[in-house]
Amino acid sequence: MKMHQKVRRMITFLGMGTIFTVSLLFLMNHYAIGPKGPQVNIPTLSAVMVGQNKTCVECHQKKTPGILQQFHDSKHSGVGVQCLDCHTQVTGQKAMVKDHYDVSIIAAPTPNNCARCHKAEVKEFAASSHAARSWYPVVGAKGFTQAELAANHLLDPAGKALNGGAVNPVSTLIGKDASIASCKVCHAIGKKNLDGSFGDCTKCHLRHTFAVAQARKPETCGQCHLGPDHPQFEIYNESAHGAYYQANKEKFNMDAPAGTLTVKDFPAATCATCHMSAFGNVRGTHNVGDRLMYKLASPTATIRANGVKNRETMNAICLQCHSQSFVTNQLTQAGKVIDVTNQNVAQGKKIITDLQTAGLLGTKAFQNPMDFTFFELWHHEGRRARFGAVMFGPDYVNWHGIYEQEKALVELQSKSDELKMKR
Amino acid sequence: MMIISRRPLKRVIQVDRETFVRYKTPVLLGVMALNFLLTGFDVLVAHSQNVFFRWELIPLIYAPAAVLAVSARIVFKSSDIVGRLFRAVMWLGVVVGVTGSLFHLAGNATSGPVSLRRLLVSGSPVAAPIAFAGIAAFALVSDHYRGADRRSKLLALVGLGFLGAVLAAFFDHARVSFASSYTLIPLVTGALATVACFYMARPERTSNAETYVFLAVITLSVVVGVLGFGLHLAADLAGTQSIVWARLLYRAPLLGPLLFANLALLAGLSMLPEPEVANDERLYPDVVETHSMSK
Repeated sequence: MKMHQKVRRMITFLGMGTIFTVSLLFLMNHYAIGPKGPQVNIPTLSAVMVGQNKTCVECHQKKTPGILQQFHDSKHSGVGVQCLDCHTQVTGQKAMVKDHYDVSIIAAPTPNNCARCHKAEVKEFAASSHAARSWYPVVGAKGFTQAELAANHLLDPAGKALNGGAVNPVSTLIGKDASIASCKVCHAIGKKNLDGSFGDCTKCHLRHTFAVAQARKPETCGQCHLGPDHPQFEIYNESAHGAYYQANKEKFNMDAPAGTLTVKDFPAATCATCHMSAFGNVRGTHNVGDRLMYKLASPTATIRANGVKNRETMNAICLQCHSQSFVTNQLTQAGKVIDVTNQNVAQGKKIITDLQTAGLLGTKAFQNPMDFTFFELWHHEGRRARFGAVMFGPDYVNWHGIYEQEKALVELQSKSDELKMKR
Repeated sequence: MMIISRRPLKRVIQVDRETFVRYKTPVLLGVMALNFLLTGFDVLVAHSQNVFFRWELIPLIYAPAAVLAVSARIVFKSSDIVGRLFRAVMWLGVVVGVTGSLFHLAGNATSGPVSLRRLLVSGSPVAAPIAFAGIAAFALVSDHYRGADRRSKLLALVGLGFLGAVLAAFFDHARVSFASSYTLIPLVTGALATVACFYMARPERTSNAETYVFLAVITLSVVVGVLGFGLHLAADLAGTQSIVWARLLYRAPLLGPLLFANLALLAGLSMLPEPEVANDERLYPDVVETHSMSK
C-alpha cells in the first residue's frame, strides 16, 4: 500500500475513532450519569458486617429500623464504617461502658469517639463557643471542675467563675422541667460527657446519617439559632444572602468535598460559608468563632481577643463576591449599630442601677416588670439589632432592635420617674 | 513517484539501535518504578484526609513494595528468585488496583438506589486505583515480552491507559457540567491518543509516516497534559492568596492532567527499537514512499 494511502487510512481511522469515542462519552453523560440517568443498587462496604457488628444489625433491624436505614443511607456505610467503630470504648470512657447483650459498648459516643477519625475537627469544635462555653449558662460553675473552667475561659481575671458561677436566670425562672425541654436541648451542643469531653457532634451532623450536606444547610443552624433572643435564621432569610438561597437551593452543591467550596458550589453565602466552611482561600474550621470580630451575645458587645484577625478572615470570604469598598462600608456601618446598642444598654443599666442603689428596686432577677424590660433590652433587642447589622437584616436592626430598645428605655425611664416620685 | 529506500533511515536507527535495545527494558521498568512512587505519593496525600481508614493503608503498603520489586528486577535481572518475586508483586498490583476501584465504587454507594452520577462522578475517584493495575501490567509486559509482541502489547496497554485517563477527565469535568469549553480538550485529544495507540498496536507493519503521525498525536497529549496542569493549578488557586491542599486534591486534581503526558511518554518509550526476534519482520518501518514534488 502506498504511503499516502496508509496515512490517509490511519487519519480516517483516528478521526472516526475519536468522533465515535467522544460521542459515546456524551451519550453516556446524557443517558447514564446526567440528571436523567438511571438509579442503581450496589452493595456498600458495610453490607457485610463482621463480628459483633452483625449482631447489632440483625437486632436493630427489628427494634429500631429507622436507625439502620439512616446508617445505610450514610457515607459512613458506604466507606465501610461499622457499628462498633463508633460505639466502642476509647481512652477515658471506662465509666461509660455498658454491657449490651454481652457486647461492651458506648451507647452515646462523644466527640472523643468521633476524634478517632476526625481529630482536627473535634479539636476545633472543643475550642469553640459551641462546646463547654455553650453548656455553662445552663448548668453554671457547679457543672465544671476548676480546671475545666480555666481551660474553657470561664474564669474572670480574678480567677472567679463568670457571672458568679450562676445558672442563667431565665433557666431558674422557667424551672427545671421547662429548662430541660428548652434551654438544655440546644445548649447540649456543648454538654459535658462522662469521659471529660464537652459537646455533641450529632447536634449538627444528625445521627445516623452524619451527612456533611445536611450540616451545611442553614436550616440545620436554624434548629437553635432562631426566636426572640438570637434570630439568626430569620435574619438570614430576610437578608439578600438568604433570599438568594431560598430561591436557588437546587444550585447549591451541598455535597461538594470538604475543603474545596467555591462560589461555583455556593453562589451565595450560607451560615456555613461565612462561619465554618473552607471557602475560596480561607481554610475551614469547626470553631464558629474563628471568623468573628465581636462577642455580640453579651449585654455589652465587645471585640474578641483575636477580633481584628478574625475580621480579616471574614473579609476574605466576603471578597469572593463583593468589592473591598462595599465590604468595608457594610461592616463599618454594622460596627456603628453595635455601638448604638451598647449605648442603649448602658443607658438602661444606669436607670436600673440607680434605682437599685436608691433601694427602689431589688437585685434579685425577674422580680419586677422593669427587670424583664431591661433583660430584653440587651438579651433580645440588643442582640437582634447587632445580629441584624452584621448579617444584613434591616428589619431586625430597626423594628425588632433599636426601635424596641428606644421604646424600652422610655418605659424604663418612665417607671423610674414614677418610683422616684412615689418615694 | 520517488521511492526512498529504507536503508538510510535504518542505518540511522541502527547507529543507536543497540543502545536502545540494551536499555529499553530497564528504562521501561525504571519509569514504572517512578510511576508506582508518584501514585503512592498521590494516594498517601489523598488517604491522609481520611486518617488512613482501615483498608486505605493497602495501597500505601503496596506502593513501596512495588517500587522495591521493580528496582530489584532492574538490578538483579538474571536472578530467578527476584524474577518470580517481581511477577508475584506485579500480579498483586493488578489485584490491588481492581479491588481498589471496586472499593471506591462501593464506598460511593448507599444501601438504597443511587444515581450513577453519585457513584462515578461525585465521590471517591473510581478510576484512580486502577492505575496500580495498569502500571503493574505494563511492568509485567515490559519484563516478559520482547520484539514486536512487546511493542504491540505495551501500546495496547497505553491505549487502555489513555482510555482510563479520558474517562477520569470526563467524570471530573462532568462535575462542572463542561461549563468551560476547554474542559473538552482532553476528551478529544485523549480519545485521539487512545485510538492511535490501538491503531499502532495492531499486528501489522507500520510505515514511517504512520509513526510520525502517531508521534504527533502523543506529542499533542504532552502539550495538553502540561496545559491542563496549568489550568488545574489556576482553578485551584483562583481567588486565593494561599495554597488550599484540599482543592489541589479534590477540586481540580493537580496531577490528573499530567497523566496524559505520562502516558504519552510511555507510548514514546514503547516505540523505541526492540531486540530482534526470530521470524519477526514487524519491527522495522515499512519502505517509505512519497510523491516526488517534481511529479
